[in-house]
Amino acid sequence: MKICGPKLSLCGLIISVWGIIQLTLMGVFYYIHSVALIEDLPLEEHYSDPAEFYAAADMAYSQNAYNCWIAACIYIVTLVLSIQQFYANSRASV
Amino acid sequence: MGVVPVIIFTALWGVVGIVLPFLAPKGPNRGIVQCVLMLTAATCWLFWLCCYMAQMNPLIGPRMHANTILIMAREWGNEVDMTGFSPSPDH
Amino acid sequence: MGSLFRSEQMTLCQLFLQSEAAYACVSELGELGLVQFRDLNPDVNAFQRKFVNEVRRCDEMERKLRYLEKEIKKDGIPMLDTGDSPEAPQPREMIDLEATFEKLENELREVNQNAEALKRNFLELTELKHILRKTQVFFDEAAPTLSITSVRYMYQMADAHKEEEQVQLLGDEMRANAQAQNLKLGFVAGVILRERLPAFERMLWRACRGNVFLRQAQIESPLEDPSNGDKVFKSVFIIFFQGDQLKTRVKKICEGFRATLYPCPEAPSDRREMAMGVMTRIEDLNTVLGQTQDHRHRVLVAAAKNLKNWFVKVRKIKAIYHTLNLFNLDVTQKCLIAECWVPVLDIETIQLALRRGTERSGSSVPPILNRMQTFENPPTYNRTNKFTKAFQVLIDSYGIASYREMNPAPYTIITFPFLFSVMFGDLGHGSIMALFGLWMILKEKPLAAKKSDNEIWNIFFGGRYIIFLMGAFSMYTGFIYNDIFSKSLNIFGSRWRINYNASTIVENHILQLDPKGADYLQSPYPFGMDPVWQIAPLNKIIFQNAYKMKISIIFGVIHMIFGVMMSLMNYRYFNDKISVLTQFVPQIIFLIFLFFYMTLLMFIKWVRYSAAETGQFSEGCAPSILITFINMVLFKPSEAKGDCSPYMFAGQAYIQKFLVVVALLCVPVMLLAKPIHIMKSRKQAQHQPIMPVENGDAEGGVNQENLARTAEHGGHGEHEEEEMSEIFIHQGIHTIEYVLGSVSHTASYLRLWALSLAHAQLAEVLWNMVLQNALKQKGWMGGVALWAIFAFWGVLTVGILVLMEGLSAFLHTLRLHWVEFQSKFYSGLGYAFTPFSFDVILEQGSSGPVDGGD
Repeated sequence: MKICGPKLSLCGLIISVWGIIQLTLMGVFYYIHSVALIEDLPLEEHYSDPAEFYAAADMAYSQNAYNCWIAACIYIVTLVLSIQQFYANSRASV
Repeated sequence: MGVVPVIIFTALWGVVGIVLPFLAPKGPNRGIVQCVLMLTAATCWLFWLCCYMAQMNPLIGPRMHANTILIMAREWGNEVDMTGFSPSPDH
Repeated sequence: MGSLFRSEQMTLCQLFLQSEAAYACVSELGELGLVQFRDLNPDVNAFQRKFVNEVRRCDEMERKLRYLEKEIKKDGIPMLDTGDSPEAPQPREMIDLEATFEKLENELREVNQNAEALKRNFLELTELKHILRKTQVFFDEAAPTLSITSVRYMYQMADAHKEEEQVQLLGDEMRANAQAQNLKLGFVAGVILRERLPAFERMLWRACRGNVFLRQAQIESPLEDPSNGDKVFKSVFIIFFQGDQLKTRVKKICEGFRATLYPCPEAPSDRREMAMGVMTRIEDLNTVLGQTQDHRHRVLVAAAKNLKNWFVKVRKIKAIYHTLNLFNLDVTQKCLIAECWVPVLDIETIQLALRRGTERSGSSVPPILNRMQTFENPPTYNRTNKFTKAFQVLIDSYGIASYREMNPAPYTIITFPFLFSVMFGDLGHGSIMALFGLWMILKEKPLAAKKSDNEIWNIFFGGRYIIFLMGAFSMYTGFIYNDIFSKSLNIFGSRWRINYNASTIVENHILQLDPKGADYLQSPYPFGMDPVWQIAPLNKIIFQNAYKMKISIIFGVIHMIFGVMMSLMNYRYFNDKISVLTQFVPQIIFLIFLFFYMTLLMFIKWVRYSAAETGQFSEGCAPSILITFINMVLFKPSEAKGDCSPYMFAGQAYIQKFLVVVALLCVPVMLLAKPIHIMKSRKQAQHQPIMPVENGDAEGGVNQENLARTAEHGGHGEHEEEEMSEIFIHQGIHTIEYVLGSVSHTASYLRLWALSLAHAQLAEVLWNMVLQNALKQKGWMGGVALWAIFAFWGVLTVGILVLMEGLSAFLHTLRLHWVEFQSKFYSGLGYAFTPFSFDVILEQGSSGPVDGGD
């Protein structure tokens, strides 16, 4: 069954591979509390108590790590779909 | 402490730029291979050196938000000193 | 010296070929592709040359082959392309080939004609079939419905008819009488293109004043137009009328609208009979048509197997005769004389090829290859391989190197990707680019075999090694800049620490770390930028600006010095001692004393000034290097501010004065020394008309050098008697160009800083504006949002940051090489060596010329 053309399926394939690699790694970096990603967290501007901030940051870090991995998992699905489409297309063109 | 990286990276690029050209395979392209190796080593070494030297004696320090400072303190060592701190009630 | 650093040594050769052996020899040389023939009959036009007849025959053969190719493509038959190239056939085989092609072409044309006639016949029959079928319906439905309205209509048309008939019409035997009435009405039936029908109908109505009756029905299935094979939709029509006058008028109109009329019998039984006949004839025709198509297919399939091969053969023969046309016939008519440029290193190979050619032709007299002395400039030939080719193309598109001058291509292999990567430095973007390049390199053979017509793809593919190296170097510089999609990696452990206590942090929302104290570990991050700068958005740019501006000047000045050193290599190679003294020395002194000194100041500033120091070398006292440099050139004493000295080291003021004075003294040397020397030597030459031979050693070893020198002099032969004033003006322009160029080119290297900063900022903006939206989502929906937004971000990253920014960085790098680097030594006044080579000819024959470069 064909849904998308050869170019779109190739595009989906590449983005899926890229997404899986990068999002998995980003998930790992969030998981180990990478300082470089501090600005990419859903946090308030200021906290009056460091302890409060740490608690919120830890929550946000692990939440974002899981979100990254969820997105990576969705990309695995996209990858499978793209591969199937890609083969359907290449078989149709032969 | 500050000298170790200089030695390591100079030696690394020295090997690429000075030793490897002698080991380049014989043939019509030997000259090109040598030229490529030497130029690579020279440019990469100098590029690394400039970056290293620019940070050797910093004239300014990084300016950061409180959140970043807090998280940096915890993750990169030097836990924040909490003694004598009590959260202000107005927040 | 190895290959590619300079172009190959070339020599002009005279070649004597026995008439019988000439064809075979030239064929061998074409396979070799190392010989560039010169046209020895430039005054003779193309129609008066010796082998014009053969060339014309080849053209004719090529035309036939193209016709065959077109027909094969029309039928969609795959052409066998083995990729090998058969040798050029013997001249006598040409007749065989001609006969074969002639036969094939005739056969094909005949088949096509037959097929067309058959198809036309088939179309006519099909149309007739439809007419019979549709009109049957008209007649059938006409009979019962020929009641009141339509009969009245006919009655009006037929007002001359007898009254009884009208009465009868309304009577009981209506059916029979209606037919009788019809019989008296004439009718024509035919087929017309559907889109013409409305106009046709209107025309009929107007021309016949409404006295005709038209019925039409559409033919549902499209019919094939035999002349061009298009599918067209048509309609069947039938027109009833009365009287011969109307008949002729109707027929005229039908003709005008290109409607085809068919005889249609009036009696139903006749029609049925006719329909039967038509059906059987259609079936017969179908069989015949099928056989014709089969035959055509067989012919084409057989031709398709050999077509590529034939093309190669014919093109080779044609190329050989074209080349033979360039030759001179000697007086005895026994021998052809050719002149050609050949690389000195390949003379042996060429001799061998000539011998093979002679043997093949069975001639007994060997060909003679003589080296000739010449004053002409030889062509420039750089032997490249698939890796160096793209870089050579980059250089050649600026200008072909003069004969034997330094070729910048080998150095460009590294300096080009490096300077590119200074602007493009990002680990993420670099790896995308490198992976793309690597994929093209690994898939080289299958991709090259595809021979795409897509111009952009061909450019990318031609520059695959450049793209890979640019990507790889960008990864390195990205590592040093510590940028990966605008985020940083903390691999070696940051050298900055937090020493503030909790209340300070909470009370001050923004804090700056102090490089003096314990905040900085007093030794830099070992490899690249400290990751702390990435998370310091408030003064990251201030720090990186200073750093990137400095490195762009440092690399720029070194690049230019490298260029000037290349000019030294050129002067030494051409034994031009005067230019070394009068050009190179003042130029390099000027560059080093002013601009390299400035880069030294940068290093001194990095080493001596520190926030940890106090007094003279504290951070507040660090002087601006640009201001220092400007003051130095203007001889302005730098003013001390407060306790700080404006100088970085003792005696700097005196050293700077010395440097500037010497550098400025170099300008008149550049300007005057060489013309004055030329003037003097000319005067001497006038006093001593017979010059002793300058070169002492009369060994054969220096012969080549002499040759090169004579060639060099020969090139400027006409300039020898140049006016003295012109030489002065020339030199003046050169000097001004160099002196002003040093300033403007140094400034021009600042584009490295500007572009790298812009690239980093753009990457950061893209991350913050796009991807951050997903990352700042709270809760579990963030995962899905991230999935969608990541794809968008990825497309934008590739489109804007890798493709567009990459293109702009590429163009800036190209400019830095062409203008800032090559202007120091490269004259680029040569012309390319274009050898007679079958490979090139076949490549151009099958498609447009394809060459690399990004």
